[in-house]
Amino acid sequence: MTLSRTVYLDWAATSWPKPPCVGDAMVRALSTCGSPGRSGHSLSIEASRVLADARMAIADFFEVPEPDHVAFTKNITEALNVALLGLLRKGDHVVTTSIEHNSVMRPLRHLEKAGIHIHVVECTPDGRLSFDGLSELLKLRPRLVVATHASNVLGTILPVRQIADLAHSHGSLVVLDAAQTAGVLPVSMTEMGVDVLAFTGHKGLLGPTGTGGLCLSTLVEVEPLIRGGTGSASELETQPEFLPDALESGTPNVVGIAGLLAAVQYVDNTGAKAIREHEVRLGARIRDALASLPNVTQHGPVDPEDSIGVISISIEGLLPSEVGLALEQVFGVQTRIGLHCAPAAHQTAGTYPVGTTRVSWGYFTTDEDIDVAIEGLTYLSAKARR
Amino acid sequence: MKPGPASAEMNGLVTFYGSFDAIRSERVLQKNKVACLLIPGPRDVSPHCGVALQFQWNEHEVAAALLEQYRVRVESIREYRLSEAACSALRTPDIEARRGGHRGL
Repeated sequence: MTLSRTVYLDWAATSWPKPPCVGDAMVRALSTCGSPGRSGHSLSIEASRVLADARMAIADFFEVPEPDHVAFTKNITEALNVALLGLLRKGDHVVTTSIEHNSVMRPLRHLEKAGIHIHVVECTPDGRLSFDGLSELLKLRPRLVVATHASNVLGTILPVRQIADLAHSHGSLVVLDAAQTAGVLPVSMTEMGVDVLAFTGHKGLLGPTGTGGLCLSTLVEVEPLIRGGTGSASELETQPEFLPDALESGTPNVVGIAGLLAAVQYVDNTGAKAIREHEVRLGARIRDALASLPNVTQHGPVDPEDSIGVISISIEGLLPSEVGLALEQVFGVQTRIGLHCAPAAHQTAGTYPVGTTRVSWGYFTTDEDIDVAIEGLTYLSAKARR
Repeated sequence: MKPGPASAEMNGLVTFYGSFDAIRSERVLQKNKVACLLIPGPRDVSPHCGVALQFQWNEHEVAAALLEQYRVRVESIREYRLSEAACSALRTPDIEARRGGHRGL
């Protein structure tokens, strides 16, 4: 289907469009970079420079104590798997929340079968964490607490610093899933006090798909998920133990990471404040407009300041799949419907198993885009009432 | 094929376990001149895949045979209509005007 206009409101899945500098950097890397860290010739060295610059840029951006504690992965799901499978051992307890994405829940449920005890803190239907519930579970002295920074379904932002302080006071590590917040909210490992920060490159950081990583505090040692060639310690048939090589086996995605570097520089130059203000303003615009529609339910926080650029809605009388279909076919508005790979979050919100229509926006979303979505949802609300 | 009205008129649906099978099915049916359209997967039919494939039910035997011939894994092939409200929304008379009315990228 080709419409004359695409109104892209699926930023929680991936940001689109990307800044032109991202594509430019990737094209440049294709012609200037070889395999990094494997050889001493200029193409290899240039690839190593790209990786080093990207690693240092990420370390600066997230205030990671040591730049060599940034390890690249192909996405945040891989990063979370490395962290969870690399830190948890049989008999350990782990605490998480009831609004997690399957990138956390699926590795945890897998680990549960290996004798690791999973405990879930219930959140309110709008995604707020119960600190009483967390405190109670922390009495078990869990090895770690893993939590999302913001719900991909409800948009709710969790108070990471408070969670980290409470967890640390019980001797637990904190693993943060920053999939929805890196690039759109201040994310500082140092200020938040998290021990492992997992990020993706292709959402708020505005980089290409196939990029992501994890940042470790100097106190954390993570067992690698995979082992292999690193270009270092080639005389040994055992995995090097130093970072980042210990966690980066195989030729990395140099082209993608070149794009990620350009994207992070773009976001840094734009400023988190400007990005956040834009997203909050659009959030207020759509929330206010939808509040007047009698058969439309908004799930998640009422105040856009408590949320990222995400809103989940239900229209009584239409399935989310029908809302998504009609929004695109009639209005050119692209959203994501269903359970958003987060069944626990929908159970928490009371929208399981049907799910919702999720509208999500970002820095390049315009007021006009939001107004087209409002027009479409208003139209569908009226159709569903007839 | 006009996607809007076609979607409202179609009364057959293939559901899948994953999107690779959905895209393969679209390729197979289109190659063999069976009209079809990928749509968001209705959760009341299947919880598995985010996309499903609409087609005309009077071609279900042909469609099923083709998908089997190409060994495409499907979850179900069934009669399925969108709700009246959804069909009404998709049959809006100014749908073409709307499509022409927005600014380009």
